[in-house]
Amino acid sequence: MMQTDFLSGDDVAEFVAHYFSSAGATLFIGNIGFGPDVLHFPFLLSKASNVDYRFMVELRPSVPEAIIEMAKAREVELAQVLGTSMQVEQVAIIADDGAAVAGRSACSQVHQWLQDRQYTDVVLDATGMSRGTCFPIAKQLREWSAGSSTRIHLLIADSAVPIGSVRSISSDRADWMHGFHGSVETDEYAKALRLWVVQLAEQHGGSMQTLFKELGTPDEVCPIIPFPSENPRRGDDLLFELRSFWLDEWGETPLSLIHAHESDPMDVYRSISAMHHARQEALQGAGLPSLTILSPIGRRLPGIGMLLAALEFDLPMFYLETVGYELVSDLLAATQGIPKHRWYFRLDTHVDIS
Amino acid sequence: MNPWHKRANEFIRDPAELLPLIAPQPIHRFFEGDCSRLFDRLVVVVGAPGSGKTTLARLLDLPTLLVMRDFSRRNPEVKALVTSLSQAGILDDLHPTLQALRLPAGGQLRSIWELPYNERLRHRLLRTMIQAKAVLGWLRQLEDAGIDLAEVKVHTIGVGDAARDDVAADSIAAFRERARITERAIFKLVGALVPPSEDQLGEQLGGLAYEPFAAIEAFEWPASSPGTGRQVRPMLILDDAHELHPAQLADVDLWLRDREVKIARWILTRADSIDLSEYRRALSEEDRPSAPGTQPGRDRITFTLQDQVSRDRTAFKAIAEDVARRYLAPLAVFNRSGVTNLRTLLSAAAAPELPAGDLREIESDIEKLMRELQVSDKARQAMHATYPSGLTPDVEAGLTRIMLNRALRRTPQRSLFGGAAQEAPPPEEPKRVNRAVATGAELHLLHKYGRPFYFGFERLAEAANQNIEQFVTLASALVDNLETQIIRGKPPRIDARQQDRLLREHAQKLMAEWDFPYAPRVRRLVSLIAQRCQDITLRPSAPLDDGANAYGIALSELENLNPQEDIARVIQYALAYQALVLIEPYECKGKTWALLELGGVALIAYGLPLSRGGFAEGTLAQLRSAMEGQ
Repeated sequence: MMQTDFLSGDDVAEFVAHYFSSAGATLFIGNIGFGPDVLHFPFLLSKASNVDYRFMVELRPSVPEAIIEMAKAREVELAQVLGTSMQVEQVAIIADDGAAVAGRSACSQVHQWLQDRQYTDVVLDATGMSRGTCFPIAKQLREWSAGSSTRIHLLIADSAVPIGSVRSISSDRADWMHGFHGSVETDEYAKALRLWVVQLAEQHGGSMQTLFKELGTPDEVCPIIPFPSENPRRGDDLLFELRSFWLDEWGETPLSLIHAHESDPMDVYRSISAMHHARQEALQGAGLPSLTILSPIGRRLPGIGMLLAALEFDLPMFYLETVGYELVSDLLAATQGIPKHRWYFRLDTHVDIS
Repeated sequence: MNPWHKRANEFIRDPAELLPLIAPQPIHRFFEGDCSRLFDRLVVVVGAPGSGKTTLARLLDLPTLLVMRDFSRRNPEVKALVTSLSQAGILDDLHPTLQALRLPAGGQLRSIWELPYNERLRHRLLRTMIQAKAVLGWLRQLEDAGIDLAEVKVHTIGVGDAARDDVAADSIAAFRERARITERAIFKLVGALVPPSEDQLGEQLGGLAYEPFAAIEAFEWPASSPGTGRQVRPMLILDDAHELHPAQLADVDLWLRDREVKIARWILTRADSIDLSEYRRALSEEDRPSAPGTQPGRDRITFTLQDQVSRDRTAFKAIAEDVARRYLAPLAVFNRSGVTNLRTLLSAAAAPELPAGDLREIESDIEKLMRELQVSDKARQAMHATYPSGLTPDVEAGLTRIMLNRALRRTPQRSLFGGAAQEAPPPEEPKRVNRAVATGAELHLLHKYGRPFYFGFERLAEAANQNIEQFVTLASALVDNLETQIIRGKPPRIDARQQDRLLREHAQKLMAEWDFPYAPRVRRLVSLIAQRCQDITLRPSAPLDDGANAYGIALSELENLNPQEDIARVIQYALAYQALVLIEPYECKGKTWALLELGGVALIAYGLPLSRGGFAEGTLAQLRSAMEGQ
């Protein structure tokens, strides 16, 4: 990726303040999550005058009241600052029968928003968004930009400070992320060699095993280990916690592990790119079709690295939607400060993101 | 490969590895009797995860059937399977007569429901996609089996040239291409981030008039000897059908019941396929309401893979023992040491006995009760004579304490104001004490003194809810321990205390790891029911003999439960993942009940009895408010 196409840290704030003050009609797409980080970019952008703020509220069947209340409080805070330029729409994540419909609902909503006005810029704030909505929207916007001159910007902020112990509850139906099917399930790819790249995450052994099973036992698995990381032992702890899966069930060895920076999406992106290229080169001669399948689980920032790789190489993504949350401890009344990690990416097809 | 850790057979891709692990008894049971009806109409197989649905589908997979011929000569373990399949007509002189394809129903097929088109069109798209995928799958199977596709002929019977032309049956290459074009066209719609509107579909729907299931009857290719041919009848196994939208499943059900469909077809679905009422219908093997032109029973058969209601434990224990033997055999450590019988290994543990101090405490309680009830030592001796045989002294003491507490409950309260002593009732004929009361005494000792309860093969198998996967999962903790001992050069023995500790810790860990929708609330529900059951089980007089392990509500209450209600969903997932087992109708005390029985893992985790029948009475409303109050 070219240096001008992504920014991090204070450079992001500087860019946002400078660029959007003079940009044309801008559509801001965000999600009303419950963490304070969701306020960061809307507040930063609020100084620009030509922005329409559109927020989604992700509807899940199993969410504790305390979390719903906290999200409502965020909505009030946003409304106070953004005023009438803000609209909120509810988006169903899970259908009545338990199927994940997040990407489809979100894309349909965004499609409507895009029809409202001619925008020169669209900002997608992934901060409080789940992967099931954010990633399909990112792809949709990228495809949209191909037929227009619209510039697409992806922003994400992460304080890396928990606001209480909230455990996500996964669906038991693994599925391809909407728009990231590739041609995986067609006859042509039925015999392809499957490499599964999965982000290891604490307390998600069961979910990972469901993905592994539903993929029909992939030929190879490359787990992504967070290293470097704030807690230097995190990678080792994860390998120990999940040893029965990656060692026993998936039959992998330490040689298959990929180490990527815990809070640097570009490190994840580069690691996947390098591996994908190497694999394609190796298998091309043998004439074997191969597939690299990505599964983002756990923390958001490495998942953004997976998204960038999936967009560039048209890689399929296989995941489990979150159907709700469980409060393991009380929510803390976290206040908004400047999030520790802030990233900016230019996503449209007018720039080469490779 | 350690099958105790691989758990699900679907992880084992090589049929040669899979076959020796399949226990023949359930297969034999499934295929006994007239099997022709299994292949000439729609068959719906219902079961919980791990009940053997996918194993059944894998067994009928063409690659498995093809390897069976060579494999059966080398491995006597597979012979019983070959016999069952031959009797069912699936193998003819060891050659497959069927070509089954397992097609998972989730994901792409379910996504068709979300397309912004009218319902009829979405159903047509689904039917077409299923047919295209099945045709492509069958051809891939033949190719993988080394059969030259150019030599394969598609047989159609009773259809005209137009129908043959529609599916391009005259040329195998065109036949395949027609299916590929159809699959791609629908895949494009499903994969589109924003699908085209119905008006914009136009030519993309040209391939919708595609009905191979109504045309093709068999595939034929030349055999190795000249002048002969091999013929197989195509079969579709639609797996995980519960992942389809309920309206889709109803339409597929209706479509595949149609006699015009010429292929063999099965639908495999999890017990909670749609909602609680649907699950209850499946349990009672009652067909869904019939649609015009269909006749329940005649055009569809429903099988449940777990016999939850009757719980034929003797048969299951034999299967579990056989599975344990098959699963131990590939483990080199066990194989080398000649140890392959888990029952012998676990049941060799001596019955535990309480330390003398604990026993003295029980005796002191007994003496107190005897004084209060004015029971003589002679009467106690007479009481002992009515006990079941083979009890250890500590259990016998625990049982005596229960019997005396029962007597105490029957004794009328003494008047505070004195008065004449009541006349003693005439002595009753001493009745034999039920063994279940002794089990109740054992559970009292478990909770009060930590005396092991969950040890031995029998109790392990009883805790498995007739589910092989659950049996393997529970037993894996014990097998790992045995393996470690052999590696360390020690005799493979686990005493009762260790078995109990390993199983209880494992069960608690499994519950903590439950990771499915509504799992936290299922855990709360299970905990509430378990607490009610413990209250009853641990009462000094053991009113339900061995205790309670279920929550009983009036059947009518369950019948009137709105399936969309939160508690219904929680119960639905609890049943699907065997956290609970539904027993209904259950007749007791002149009423008809529905029992929400705790699953085996929860029973072990909470120290409750494994037998059936004891339950805590309540209502759904009480359960609902208790859950909300937590």
